[in-house]
Amino acid sequence: MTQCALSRPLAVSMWCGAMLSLALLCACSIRGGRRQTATPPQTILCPPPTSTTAPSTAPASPAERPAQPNPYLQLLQGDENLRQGNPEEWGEAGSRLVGRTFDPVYFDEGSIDLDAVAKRRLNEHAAWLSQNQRVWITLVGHTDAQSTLEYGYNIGMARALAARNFLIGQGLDPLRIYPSSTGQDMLAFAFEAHENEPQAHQVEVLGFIAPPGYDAPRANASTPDPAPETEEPSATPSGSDIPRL
Amino acid sequence: MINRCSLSPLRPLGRSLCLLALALVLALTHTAAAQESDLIVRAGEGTSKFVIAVPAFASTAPGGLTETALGDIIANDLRLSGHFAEPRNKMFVNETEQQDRAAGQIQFEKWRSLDVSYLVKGTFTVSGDEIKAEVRTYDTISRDYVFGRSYEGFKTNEVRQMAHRISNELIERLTGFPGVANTEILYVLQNDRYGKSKQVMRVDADGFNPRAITPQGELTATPAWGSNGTEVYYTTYRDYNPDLAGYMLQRKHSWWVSRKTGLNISPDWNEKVQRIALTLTKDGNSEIYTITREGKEATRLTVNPAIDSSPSWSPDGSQIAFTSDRTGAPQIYVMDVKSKGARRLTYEGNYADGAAWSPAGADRIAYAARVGGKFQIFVINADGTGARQLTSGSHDNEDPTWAPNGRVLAFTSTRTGKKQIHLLHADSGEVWPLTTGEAAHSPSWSPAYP
Repeated sequence: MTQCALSRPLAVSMWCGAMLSLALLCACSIRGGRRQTATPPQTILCPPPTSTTAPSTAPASPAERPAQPNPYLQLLQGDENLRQGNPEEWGEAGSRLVGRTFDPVYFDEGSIDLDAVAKRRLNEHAAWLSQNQRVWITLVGHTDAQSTLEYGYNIGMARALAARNFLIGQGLDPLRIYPSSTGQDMLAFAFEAHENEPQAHQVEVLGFIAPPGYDAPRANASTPDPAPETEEPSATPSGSDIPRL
Repeated sequence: MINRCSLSPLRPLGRSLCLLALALVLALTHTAAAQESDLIVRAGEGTSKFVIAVPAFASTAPGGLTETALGDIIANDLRLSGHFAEPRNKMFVNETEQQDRAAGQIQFEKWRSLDVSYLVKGTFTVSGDEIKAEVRTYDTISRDYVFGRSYEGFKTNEVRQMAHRISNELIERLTGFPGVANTEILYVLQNDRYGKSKQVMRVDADGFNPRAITPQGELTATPAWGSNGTEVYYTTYRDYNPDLAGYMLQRKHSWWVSRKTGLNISPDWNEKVQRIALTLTKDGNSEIYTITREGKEATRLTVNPAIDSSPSWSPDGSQIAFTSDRTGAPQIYVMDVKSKGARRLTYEGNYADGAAWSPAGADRIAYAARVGGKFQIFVINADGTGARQLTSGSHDNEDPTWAPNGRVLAFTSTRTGKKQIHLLHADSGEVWPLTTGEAAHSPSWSPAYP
C-alpha cells in the first residue's frame, strides 16, 4: 500500500491514518461483492493539508493568483503509478450529487472548441462549484456514431479536457475536475440512434459530494465554505446503477 | 522432379499408385509444380481458385464411432483461407465418396465432373478418449496421390484443434502459404442496448467457440493480443476510468498494465521489441507512448496539440503507423520510433483511422477511410504507394486487423444491420461473416500458433 510519503506534523499524520481506515472500511464494504482477480495498487488519497493561514489578499483574477503548489498534485505527478481518483470511485465514501444536475456542454460535430454558449454554461458551473467546495465533478466526453469507435474515445477526451482547462482557468482546483471519455458509449439516448446525432457531441458534467476531509483548497480562502445546496442522499447504489441521462 | 512417395510416411492404398505417380510425373508436365521444388500448386492468386473436396472421414474401427466432424471443419477452413473454393453441391461430394467406397477405388473422372481439382480423403479411429486420423490428398487432374499425413495425440474433445492442424498443413503444402486455421480473434461483444456493458471475447478463426474473457457489467474496449499470444491487453472502465488491464489466458491471471489519468487505450504489442504502443492522455491530450507489459518505462513518441492515437507497430518494431488529426481531420501517419519523425501516409477520403500493419508477406498497412460518407477498408504499401479500396457498399467498414499470414483481415461492418466482425481476403476482396448475434466490434487477430 502506498502511504502518505509526506513528512508533516502529527495532525496530518492522524488525518492520513483516519482516511486510511475509512478507505479500507469502504473498500471492504463496497468492493467485497465485486472482488476481481486483479490486484490494483492501492491508492490512498491523503487530503492536502488545510491551510492555516489565509492568503493576505484575494486574487483579482486567475492570472494574478500566485501559484500555490498542491502537494497532492505533486505526489500524483511524481509517482507515475498513481492516478488522480475519479469521484465515482469513492462509492459510499462519497456520493453522487442528486439534488442538482449540470447541463451538458455541447460541441459542433467534429469540433473540440468551446463556443460562446459552452463557455457561458461552464462559467455558470464554475460559479456554483466555487460556492460548493465539497462537490467534485467528472466530465465525460462523447461523440456520435459518425466517427470511428477508437477516434471517438479520443475526441470525447479532447472535449472533456477542453472543458476542464476552461474551468481551471476560471479558478477551479484541477483536483476537483476529473476528465473522462466513453466516446460513442454509455450515452443511452444516442447509442442506438442514427449515426448523425448532434446532441451526442457533448461533455456530461456529473457531480459528486466529497467525503469529509476531501475539501479542496479554496480559490477564495476568505469566503467561508457554505453547505452544499442539496441534501446528502442515503447510500447510493454502485456507479453503474445510476442512470447517466 | 518430386519423388512423391518419399514425402509421405504412408503407403498409398490400393494398387501401387506410387509407381504410377512417378510414371505420370515423368510423362506429364505439371505446370505449377515445375516452378518450385516443394509446392504443389499456386492457388488463390487473384480470383481464380481450385475447387477442393473434403468428404466425410471414414471410420476404420468397425463398431466404434462412425462419424466425425473433421471433414466439415477442414472443408470450412480451406474455404475461409481464401485459396480454395467448395464444390458447388455438398451432397454430390458425399454421394461420390460413397460410390468410391463401394467401388473400392477413387473414380477420378466423377470428381472431375464436379470440377474438383483436389480431393482430401480421411480416415479416423477412436480408441478410448483418443482419436487418430490419416489424411490423403489426391490431384484429380493428374490422378496423383499427392501426399498423406497421419495425426495422433489428440483427445476426442480436441477434434476442432486436430482439424485446424490438418487444414493448416494442407494449406501450406498445397499453396506454400501458412494457414491460420488454428488462430483466434479477440473482439468486444455488446451486452446491452446502451453501450454500458461490453465483454472482451475470444473466438476461433472459423467463428466457433466464442468465450468471454471479461465479466458482464463492465464497459471494455480495444482488446489486443499480447506477449507470446498467451495474454491479452484490453481497456476496461471497471474502476470508472479507461484503464489498461492485462490477462493471461491460461493462468487466468489479470493485472493492471496502465492506469494513468484519462485514456489508456488502443494497445498494440510488438514481440520483437517487447513493448506495447498505446494512447495516453496523461500529459494533456491524446499522444502515442510505448510501455512494457508491466506498465513500466513509459516513453512518449508524439508531442503536438493534435490527437495522436491508434498505434500499430511495423513487424520489426522500427516504425509505428498511427492516426493524427494534426492537419484538421484524422489521417494515417508513419513514424520512425528512433527519430520520432512522422510522414503522412493517407490521402484518400477526408478521414482515416485504424491503421493495421501487416505482420507477414507484403509490407502493407490496412486502414479505414471515409469515402462518400461511409468508411471502407483500404490497403496501402508501407511506402505510401498503391492505395487500394477493398470493401464497398453503403455501410461502414472499419477497424481492420491482420491474420498472422498477412493475407486475411478481420474487420467491423454494419452491412448486416448491426456491427459484426467479418473476414476479408486482402487480395480477392471476398468477405465472409465471422460473428452473428449480439453486436460485436474491435477485432484483434492472434499471432500464429505453433
